[in-house]
Amino acid sequence: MPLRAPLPFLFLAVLLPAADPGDPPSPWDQATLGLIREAYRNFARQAGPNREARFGEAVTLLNLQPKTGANLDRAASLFTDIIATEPADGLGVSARYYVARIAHVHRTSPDDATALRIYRELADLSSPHPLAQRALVQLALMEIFEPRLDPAEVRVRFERLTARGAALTESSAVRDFHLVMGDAALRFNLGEAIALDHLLAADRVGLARAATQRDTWVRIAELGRRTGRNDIAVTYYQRFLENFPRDSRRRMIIERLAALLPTSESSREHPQVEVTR
Amino acid sequence: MKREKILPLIGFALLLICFGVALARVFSRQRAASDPNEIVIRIAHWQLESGIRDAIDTLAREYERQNPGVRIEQNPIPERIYPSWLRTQLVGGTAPDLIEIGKGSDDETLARFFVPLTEHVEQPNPHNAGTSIAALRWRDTFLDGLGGGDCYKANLLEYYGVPLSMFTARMYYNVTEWKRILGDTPPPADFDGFVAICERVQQHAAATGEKIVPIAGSHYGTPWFASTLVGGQTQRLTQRLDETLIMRPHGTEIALQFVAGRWTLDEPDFVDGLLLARQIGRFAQSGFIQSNREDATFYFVQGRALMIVTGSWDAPSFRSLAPFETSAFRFPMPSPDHPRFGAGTYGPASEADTPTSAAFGLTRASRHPERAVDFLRFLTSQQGNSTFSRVSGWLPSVVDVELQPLLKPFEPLSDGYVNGIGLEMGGGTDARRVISANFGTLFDANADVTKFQDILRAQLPDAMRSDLLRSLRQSAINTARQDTPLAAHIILHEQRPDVAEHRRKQSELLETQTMQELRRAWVLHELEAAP
Repeated sequence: MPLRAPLPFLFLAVLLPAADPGDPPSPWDQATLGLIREAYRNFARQAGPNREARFGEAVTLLNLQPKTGANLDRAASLFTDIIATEPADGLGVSARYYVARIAHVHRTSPDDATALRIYRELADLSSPHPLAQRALVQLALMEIFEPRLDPAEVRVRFERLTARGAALTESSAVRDFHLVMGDAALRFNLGEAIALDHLLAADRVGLARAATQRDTWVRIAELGRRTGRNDIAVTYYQRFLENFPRDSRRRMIIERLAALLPTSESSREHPQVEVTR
Repeated sequence: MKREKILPLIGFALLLICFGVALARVFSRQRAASDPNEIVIRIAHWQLESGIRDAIDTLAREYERQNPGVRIEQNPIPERIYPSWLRTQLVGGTAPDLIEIGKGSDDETLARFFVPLTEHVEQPNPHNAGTSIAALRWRDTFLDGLGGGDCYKANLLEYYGVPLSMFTARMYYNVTEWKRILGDTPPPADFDGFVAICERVQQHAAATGEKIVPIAGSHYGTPWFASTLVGGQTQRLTQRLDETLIMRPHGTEIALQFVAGRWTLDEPDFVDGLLLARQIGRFAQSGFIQSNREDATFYFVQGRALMIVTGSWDAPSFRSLAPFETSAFRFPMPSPDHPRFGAGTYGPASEADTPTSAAFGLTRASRHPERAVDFLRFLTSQQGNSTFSRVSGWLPSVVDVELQPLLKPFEPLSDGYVNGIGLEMGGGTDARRVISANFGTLFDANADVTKFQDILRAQLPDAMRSDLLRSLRQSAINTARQDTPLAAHIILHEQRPDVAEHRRKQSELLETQTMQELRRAWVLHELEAAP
């Protein structure tokens, strides 16, 4: 039965003319568009001595459908060759990161120990490459959120990673590191003021997506209110209201803002605020 | 000639005629398509309601009038066969220019067969010239900023759809019968008013012998009302459970806290919600929970029920099918000052997050992509969307479009409160199955909230855990999928440092992965620690 379903489509694919492809994009462009099979074929054709094409072949093998262990083994082998040629240049660092990713998220049974080891090596490189710096974000996720840890050990790890985070320079890594640390500080009761400082640091770098902005700004405002830093709370409640005119939290935010602002200012800026609730 | 000999001949002749007609249609279509002086834009969707077809037809004729040499062909496809039809058209390279997305169009299909509209939606819509939204980016002219529904694809980091409408769920009522039975009584302002109206209808039926019940219930629509009632009672509880301090905790967080035992089925506010939900069963036809959408619609259209719960998408159908006038009102809820059911609620639930719907994408097979995009712009200009809404009877998707009086009851409530934990309790497929399989215990004549709680207490933790594990697997798949485009954007940014898009997308992908992996790490942590 499962075999029968695609048969009509295969039949039609043979009979009917194919869609006009237009100008063929580069394999990297194809990969950005999610055209993994096409990108893989093009990389595989160019591979051989071309190191970038071998990297492209490996990185497309990670998501070539159907996803198989053999494809992941082949990708890992290609990455290993790339690392063997030069482990510390852009492609070498990227290949090391992706070997860790294979162990961490691509295999059916994750190998966290291998992933951790490689992430640690990458973080120790002090390379400006975005994926080398990303390794510290992964370390924070794996080390602090490790299940069944003693709370004291969580704090030790948190403080150790906080110190290492100061060395990050790549903007996405800085932002994401602080997002993770802020969340961890809140989840593991390490201090609302600490969580607030991390989230403010993330926001200073610039949040990339509206969805992250919405939630992080509310979080910052709430933490500001709870820690007595009302100026921060007011700023971020107002920023949220100005930027997100359609969100189910607006009424509650307006009310919380009203409770923080002097009545006259509140009614001037948000006429519909009811201070009496 | 004998009858036995004539019959096959008639059949054969009919077959020949049909074949001839089909052949003529194919040839005439090919001739039309090959007319060098005419641009044909084909648009396909699964909205077979007459109002929707009429609306698109009206706009198509107006566009043709404004653009001589352009012809718009509308192609409505039955919903049941839509995914397979779509696949066939896309694979065959014969797809229409514009296609409604959302059924059978996963990320891979969109990436392979559709054109990203990101560049277009970042520019103003020229058809809005002279209006209040002329200067806005096209995407900002939509009520949800194209952030919801099928328009923006987070994994592909591109916009693929442009929507025509949005939907809300309401309690519809038969205006004719309402007036006959209830006189000038207005729609209820709160739950007590609703119960009083239902009881009056029951008393009327008992006194007159008329076969009419207050609500046409079904397992399709009725649980929405029940869930909203539960959500209203748990608004304050949900804020107490908001450990992430975002004021609107994600369903996964609610489910996780349930599994971890930080809230239970015995929370007084949740129990109050169940007590309110149970009352709905008193007012629907007996055994209603076995009824499906069509059964309930039939009941309502026949005048055997005064009210029915369904979405705003059904409004045009009711207008054309029902031999009576219909209207609708928001789900009636207990207010915060209610002496018995007011403690857990802040007030009416906000619908400000309602996403836009009925989104159309541009296929790679389009021979006139610029013209097709222009028609999309026309459809979703303030004027175009106003016409669409007026003719179709659906809500508009574009800001500042004035609502027709008939549509006012369906307008999303923007000034409300975040609703609380609903009947589904943040669970996924398995939890929902457990809950819906036991609706009878909650809604039937012998409804028993305690028994419903006992069943859920026994079955729900495993179902919730199973849902959370599934969400972990799905999250890992999503995160892993982003690894390939991430590598591509990093390489392309190095090669084309002057193209800002690669840097932006690289940043967005990394942030998306961070947020997904953060939630995943916490769920894993909590599941390991849970009893």
